[in-house]
Amino acid sequence: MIKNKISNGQFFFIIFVAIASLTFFSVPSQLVGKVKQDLWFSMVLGTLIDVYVASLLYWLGLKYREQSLIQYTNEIMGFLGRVINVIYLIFFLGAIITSMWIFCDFLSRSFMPETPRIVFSITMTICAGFAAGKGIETIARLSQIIGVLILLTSLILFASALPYVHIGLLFPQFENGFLPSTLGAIYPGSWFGICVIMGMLMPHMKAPKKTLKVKVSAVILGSFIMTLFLLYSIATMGSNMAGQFENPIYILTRISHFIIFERIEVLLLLIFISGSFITISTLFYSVTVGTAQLFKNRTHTIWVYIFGSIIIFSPVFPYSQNSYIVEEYLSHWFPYVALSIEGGLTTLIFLVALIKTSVKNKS
Amino acid sequence: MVIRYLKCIVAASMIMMISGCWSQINFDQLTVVSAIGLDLDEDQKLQVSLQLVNPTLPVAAGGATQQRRAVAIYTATGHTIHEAIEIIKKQSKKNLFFSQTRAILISEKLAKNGLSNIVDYFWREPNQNFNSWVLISNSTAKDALSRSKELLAVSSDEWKAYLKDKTNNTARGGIELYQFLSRLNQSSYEAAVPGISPFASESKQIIMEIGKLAVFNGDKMSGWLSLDESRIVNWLSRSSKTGVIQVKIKNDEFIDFDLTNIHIKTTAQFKNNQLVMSILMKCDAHIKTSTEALDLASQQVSHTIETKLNQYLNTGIKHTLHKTFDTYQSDAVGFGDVVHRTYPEKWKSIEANWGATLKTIELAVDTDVRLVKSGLLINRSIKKDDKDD
Repeated sequence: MIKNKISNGQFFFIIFVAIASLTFFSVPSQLVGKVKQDLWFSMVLGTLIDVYVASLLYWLGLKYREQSLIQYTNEIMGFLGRVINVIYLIFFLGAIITSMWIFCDFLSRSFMPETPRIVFSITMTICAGFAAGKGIETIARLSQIIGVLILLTSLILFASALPYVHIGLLFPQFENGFLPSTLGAIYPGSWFGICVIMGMLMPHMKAPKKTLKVKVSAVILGSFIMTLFLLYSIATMGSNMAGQFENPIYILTRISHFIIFERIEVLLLLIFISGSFITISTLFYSVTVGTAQLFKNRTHTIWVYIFGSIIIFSPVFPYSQNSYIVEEYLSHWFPYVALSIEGGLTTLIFLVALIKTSVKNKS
Repeated sequence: MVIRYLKCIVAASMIMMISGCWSQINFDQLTVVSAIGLDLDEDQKLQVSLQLVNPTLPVAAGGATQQRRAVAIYTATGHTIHEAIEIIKKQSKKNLFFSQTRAILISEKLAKNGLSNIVDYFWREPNQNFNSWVLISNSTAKDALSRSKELLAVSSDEWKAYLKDKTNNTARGGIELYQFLSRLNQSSYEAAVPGISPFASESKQIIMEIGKLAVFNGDKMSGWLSLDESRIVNWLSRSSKTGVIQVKIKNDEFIDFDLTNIHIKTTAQFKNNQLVMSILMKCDAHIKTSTEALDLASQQVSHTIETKLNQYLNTGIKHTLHKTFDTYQSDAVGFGDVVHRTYPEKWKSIEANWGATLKTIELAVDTDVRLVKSGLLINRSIKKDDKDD
């Protein structure tokens, strides 16, 4: 398998772009309606959850240098490790399918209603599969370009929306106490937690000791920008209106104008498509490399084709258009399952590794 | 080598697909909808009128000699806006482009009947403009769209330009579609929409006037405010920061003021379980003209004018709010939002009955107007009004 190396800056942008685009997928529709103007607190808690998972992966990554999450899970957990690895890989695949489905659904419903959803998934899968096949260095280099683009376009969008903002709409804060926003943290927490793929990227880091610092900075910047987008949406439309739209950030860009330029939602489209590309590519890379490591294959290329042929059909899977099931899936099943894998399984591996290490040290 | 060529072909085909040509609509098959008119017809059925822009050819292409109407009006009825629009599509034989719609005109009759059954279209439809300006027409919307006489060829362009100021903020009480939709569902801040009404008619055309506000109670229009009252509601709801008023200082002595930098501070307070809303209005007043000679160098004269102006505004604000609250039971100035922000716990108990609570609010109005030097005269002294010349 090719051992590409990535710099801290490249890793920073992979995580930043992933956080930004993962927030776009489902967090706005779940969080704005339920938590309203207190959503910033949910985002802070979601960030903390991710930082916690990142700390565990950092410790494990340093302890088992040059090994990926899949490899050291096998070593730490023995036979159970194989089962956990299968769960991780199914979760990565599920996250790609969910992301791809939301990506196609959003593009089709908002921008190009006459284009069949499968066309979006075919083009994205081919591009992401190509990037995943080329290796993490290719994705990392692209993420540097796309990350800067996302930062710049976000600044333009914030400046454009400023005349429409009414700060008063962000109050009262914590009208129903801290409970709704605390419970709401499962949405950003579960989506940010997909960055558990850090465990797959750490062996590729040129300077693994700085991984945690870089990762935390990227998560904070990504979640800060996305929190601003969500708060801007509420401060422009009010929480009642913003909470009724599938993606209030999109509506915010439909309302805002940049000087004389109207229809600046194309900038959001730029963020959404390019961000989704990096996220899906990184997940694609992680799932294919992880599977290759699990089955001890020499190359992960064959898995790119196998998984690619499944991912392509994401938007046409049964029930993907059934509102009730989709709502249940995005508001309950996905967040709880994702959190229990990202947080639960990672904690379990960490604890077992910790015990093994301390026993070894004593003996 | 073959694989490399194959990759190139795949990459080239992807570029073509990514360009988005799949959902393309040929430009000659596209017509911009500049305004939407919504009426109730004689059978109480929804009537939708669309003002479609009819672009003329460039001069180089022979457009100078063309005698084409700038706009065309198409009308259809239906149970929903969507149904009527589908009929209009068959009439116009074009794809309708709503993303540049400037104005949405709603007839008074329809507005009073309630809008909750029809606005769903604007919530769902992706191909629309959330920045369209909403207007209430006291004649039929179809009439206003087809017969209005404006300096610009497309009347809705003129209305949009009038309602939107250069800072991109709403001016003259204008309300955009996204604000309107939100306020129809809100009891804490209800909609106040500029009215458009015929001012004078010239042969087949009508000169339209935008000024009075139509205030809403929920999704139904409650009634009209006069021009003076509308101006005050615009200030209190922060839709407008300027205004021109005329104040009677003594018998037959009138002064016209241009008010600028209007700042409103609204606070809510419960005193012995009685809700007291305090309003502080601060602004600069520029004297534009006077019917009598004024010696503004005199402190006494300045003080008298400021006092009269403050009294006028104070009385006007109280009168307007009483009319809005008592007669129309409408919170068009957003006092509910202020109470909600200040007393979130109490708001939960009064929200359901906010319409009735409005009538019991005690108002404490304070105005602080500052006379500022303006115009061409020296020493802030106005000797004679140009009217007397």
